[in-house]
Amino acid sequence: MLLKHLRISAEEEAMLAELCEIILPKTGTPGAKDISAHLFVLTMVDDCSSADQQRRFKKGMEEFTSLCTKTTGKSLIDCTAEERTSITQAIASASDQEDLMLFLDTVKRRTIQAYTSSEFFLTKVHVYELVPGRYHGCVPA
Amino acid sequence: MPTTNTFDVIVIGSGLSGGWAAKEFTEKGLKTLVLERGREVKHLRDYPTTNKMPWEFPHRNEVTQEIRDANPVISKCYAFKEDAMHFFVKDAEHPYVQEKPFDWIRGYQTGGKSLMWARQTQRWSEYDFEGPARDGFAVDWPIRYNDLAPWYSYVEKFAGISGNRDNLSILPDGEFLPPLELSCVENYFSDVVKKNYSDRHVIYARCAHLTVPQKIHLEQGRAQCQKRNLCQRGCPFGGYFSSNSVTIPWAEKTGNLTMVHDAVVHSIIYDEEKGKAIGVQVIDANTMQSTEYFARVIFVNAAALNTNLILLNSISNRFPAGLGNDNGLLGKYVAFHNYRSRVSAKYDGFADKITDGRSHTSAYIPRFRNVLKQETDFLRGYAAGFSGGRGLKRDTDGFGTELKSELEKKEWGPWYVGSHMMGETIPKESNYVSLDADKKDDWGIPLLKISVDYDSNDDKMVKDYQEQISEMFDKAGFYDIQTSDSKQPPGLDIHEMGGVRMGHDPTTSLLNKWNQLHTCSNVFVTDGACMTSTSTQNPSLTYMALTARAADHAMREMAKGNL
Repeated sequence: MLLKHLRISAEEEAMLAELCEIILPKTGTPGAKDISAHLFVLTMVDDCSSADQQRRFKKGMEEFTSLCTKTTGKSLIDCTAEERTSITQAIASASDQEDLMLFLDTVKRRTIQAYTSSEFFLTKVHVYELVPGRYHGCVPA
Repeated sequence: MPTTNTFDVIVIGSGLSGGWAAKEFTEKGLKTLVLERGREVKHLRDYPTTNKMPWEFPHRNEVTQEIRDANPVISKCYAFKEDAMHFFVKDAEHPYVQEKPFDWIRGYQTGGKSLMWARQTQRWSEYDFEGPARDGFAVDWPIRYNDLAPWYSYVEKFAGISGNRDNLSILPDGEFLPPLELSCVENYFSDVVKKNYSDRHVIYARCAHLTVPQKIHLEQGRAQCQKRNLCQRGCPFGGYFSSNSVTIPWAEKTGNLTMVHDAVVHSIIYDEEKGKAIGVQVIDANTMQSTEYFARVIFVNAAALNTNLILLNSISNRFPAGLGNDNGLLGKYVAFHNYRSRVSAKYDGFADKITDGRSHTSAYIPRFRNVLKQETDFLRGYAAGFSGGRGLKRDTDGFGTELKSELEKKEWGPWYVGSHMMGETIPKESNYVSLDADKKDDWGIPLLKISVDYDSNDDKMVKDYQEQISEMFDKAGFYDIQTSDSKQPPGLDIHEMGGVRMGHDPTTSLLNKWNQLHTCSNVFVTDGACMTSTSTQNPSLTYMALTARAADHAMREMAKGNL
């Protein structure tokens, strides 16, 4: 993906896609990969964050990659379900790593945003009406 | 380019008040030139985002860091988002000098800021017009409510104002289209306040929306407001009032309107022999070519501070300090609205109720402080907005399938209530605008220097607003009450007023009771610059009424040969 500020390798991009899918997996409804949530995350960090936040995001991403390797000896993409659980546990005990936390929080927040503002979500789950044509101040929930 | 340079009337600015001047003059057969310094934004054709879905905005309506960095001032404006930022002036394009911090929010295009205004339209009352005389600040308004009441009615019928007849002397009723409903919590709060206070009211905020269009509105080519609440993008239905959808097309239909865009007014030309203004010098924003246009009457509606700038820059032997500025008060006594504070809270009632669709307005608390007599340690008072709505409850702590079903479920959270203050500020000589002695813009016009600030009266008012609204919220059983003071600089309220104030006396004011310059009677100012005091109401409706009234007077005087 072409970015203006962030330098993200193809491997990192693939890893991010995997991480987003863990956050919001495909179920009966599309998952993060189906809506390219990871590209939305990168776009928002690249375009809407300060240079400092971008630097910390990138550093946090590198810390996350090392954490995966340290815990499982593998990249996130190649991890089994058990190995992913061990990564989750490792994250829980790494809460003092501020950049790692910023990276994970950002990825999660933007992934949620990608899904809840997607065409699928706003036409099939919680339908967005461009032209409501009505307002009722008090109706049954 | 127009085929002639001579007109009956020149109107400077096509925004909310300029559009009204154009409509009034063209409708009565006067050849009218409207000069707009910005680009053309044509109703329907030039609303590029109006039908976009949320997912069609690449940043989901956020403003990018690059744009925020380049535009520290305009980025603060609540409506400056991905869907409407093309209607706002970017900081670097039109610099100004902040002697004190001032967020100057501008829209340079057909319709000016009427395209993306907040559409709140509350009348002033007698208490507002008599305020300066009673409380001893500024100068006495040369008009009273009764002078303006018929003109409020006149503009309301044409613009289309949705409202409820509330029968309050502090906020007189008008010619209303039906109101929308208030939400459960807004109605509940209204009842609580009524029970607890004899002089406080929570009412439906009147707004310029066609809830039920009348014949006149259909003739304007407008349709019923569809409750999209995306007004800042420009409305494909013409559901709210703007110059673009209402007054400018109406004026065009008469065949008497000539409109020139990219026309930056340099100054008003004063003829020493004739003893009056004869025209306007204009610079083409793109070609830099200078052109003169002539007319019997000139209406200055460039938006409050730019109107000050044009008059200050209109220098002649007779008026070396700016047109009409014999007393040296031009540019002084600028005031605004104090929007610094908010109060928010939650409410657990009406758990089984929600709102449905979207509302384009909310509730409104008219001023209740110092109305009948002075009763606090600060002068005047504040009005407040109030709204109560409900969002979906979303716990985003988890991840995976658990998080996903959390996002997809439809479970409602508590009601959120919020209020913002709209405080009257006291016009002072020390709050002023002037021309910078050295710096000039791309068209060779001096930059405007703005020196406007709060004072202790405003601080006291913030404190009182927070106390009173918190007390009212508490009585309603709202909880988690939070107060805030943004300390935002003046200007972000987008209600800057004054500098060319109306008054009885030419030695202490610039304009007479008909909005004519005391000393150059064929020049009228009917935008925010004319305001002697600010009261608490959103001022646009008052500008509309003042403009229609002044245009009517101008035409009577022209017919008599006095202008």
